[in-house]
Amino acid sequence: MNTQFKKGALEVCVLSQLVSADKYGYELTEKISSEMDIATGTLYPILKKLKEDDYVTTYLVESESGPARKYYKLTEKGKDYQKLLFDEWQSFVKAVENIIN
Amino acid sequence: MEEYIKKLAEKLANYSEETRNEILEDYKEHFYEGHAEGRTDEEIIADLGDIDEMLTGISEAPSKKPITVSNPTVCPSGVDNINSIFVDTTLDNHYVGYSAHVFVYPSDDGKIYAEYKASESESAPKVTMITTTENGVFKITLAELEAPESPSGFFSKLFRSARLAFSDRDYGTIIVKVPLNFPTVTVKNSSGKSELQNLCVGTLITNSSSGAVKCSEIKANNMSVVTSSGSSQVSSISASHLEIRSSSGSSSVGNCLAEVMNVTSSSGSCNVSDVKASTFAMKASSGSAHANRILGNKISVVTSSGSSHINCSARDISVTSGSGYTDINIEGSFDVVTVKSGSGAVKLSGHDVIRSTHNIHHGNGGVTIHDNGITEKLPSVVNVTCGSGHITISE
Repeated sequence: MNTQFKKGALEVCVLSQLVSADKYGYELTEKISSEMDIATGTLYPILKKLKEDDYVTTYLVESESGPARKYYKLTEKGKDYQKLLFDEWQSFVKAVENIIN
Repeated sequence: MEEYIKKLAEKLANYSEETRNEILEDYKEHFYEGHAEGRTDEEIIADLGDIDEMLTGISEAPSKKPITVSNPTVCPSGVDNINSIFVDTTLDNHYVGYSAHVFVYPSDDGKIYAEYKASESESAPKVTMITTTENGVFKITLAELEAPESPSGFFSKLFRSARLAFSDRDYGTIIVKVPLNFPTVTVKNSSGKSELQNLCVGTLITNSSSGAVKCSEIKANNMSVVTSSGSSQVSSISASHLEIRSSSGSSSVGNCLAEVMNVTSSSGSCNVSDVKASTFAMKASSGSAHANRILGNKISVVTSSGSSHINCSARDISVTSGSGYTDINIEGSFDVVTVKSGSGAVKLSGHDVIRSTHNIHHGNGGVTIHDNGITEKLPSVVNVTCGSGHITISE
């Protein structure tokens, strides 16, 4: 699939997954890769970019066994951005449906 | 797992330490969690996918990556039988939204040079510069090195253009050096920047769609700067004919000397200052028009809903406005000033304005003339027609 397109789509997926609850990396990638066939590694640069752009923040949670888990949390800016992308996505999909049907 | 992580670390070597450590930590955590769920290394590796694919998603450019600079191409047959340089960065629409920057500078040895610097961005499509010479035209274009992936037409194009703000989108930069007094230079660009500086040419045409255009220190017979939504910045120009035209981009123009000068914008604003032109025409429909210190023989400004602020000196001045507000100050003497406005108010001022013969036609807007008892009459004439706006005339 077209890389740019995929990147954009995955960004909406990642942000939307964080609306209901904070998630750690593996949990997020599992959730998304269970629905679509992607290289899960590609999600990490997306998460990193979202963090750099202040759409998400991260915090560590110590686990009893093994290394600490890095959790991702939506910022206020991230919530707004998620809404924006969500709306854009909806209208885009609707437009495509109207055209192809 | 160790082997995969090692390979990842090697591939991340040219990135900053912060990026390298962060991605490595993410991957290690991913392996740990995968193992905890009973997955094998093979499964996890298959799941994580190709490292190179992941790397293309990193926004930071790797630091030690050499910037590829193709050898400057010198126009093969010298300048003698070449009378036109044509730079065209617009490629087939496979990569909608991608464009190159174009910089045009003077050449110091009378030869034409074209040089291409690739984008430092990993995600930029790989392109190369191609130069051809045909019928006296030295043409500089770009060509794709790799076939674009899955050309799913409209779908990917649409989304790509919608995603522009979040991705690097230049192919790189084309640098062209032009000899002194060269006949014709044409630059056709899409969303990349175009910068033209210190040139002395016969005809200069720049045409850009959404990219910003900057032209400075240019001497030309005919010069035209056309943009669609890109802004244009034009300064220190000397030309017989100078045309600056934009659809929705704003235009900023300063220090120009021209026989005939036209500035046109549809919805973009125009800001013009310090111009000396025999004939000066400015047309903005919904954008605002600012014309400051315009010295000419014949000046005309037309706006529709945009407001206009004009400070000028000329023999024949004509201003037409629809619903926009018009504010004109006239320096020195003139022969005739004609102002026509629909519903926009008109404010007209100047030493000679108040001393001229006033022919005023107004609707229901009313007229105020601050003549301060001046009865002196000059041969000059002021014609003002205004529908519903108020007319104010003062010194």
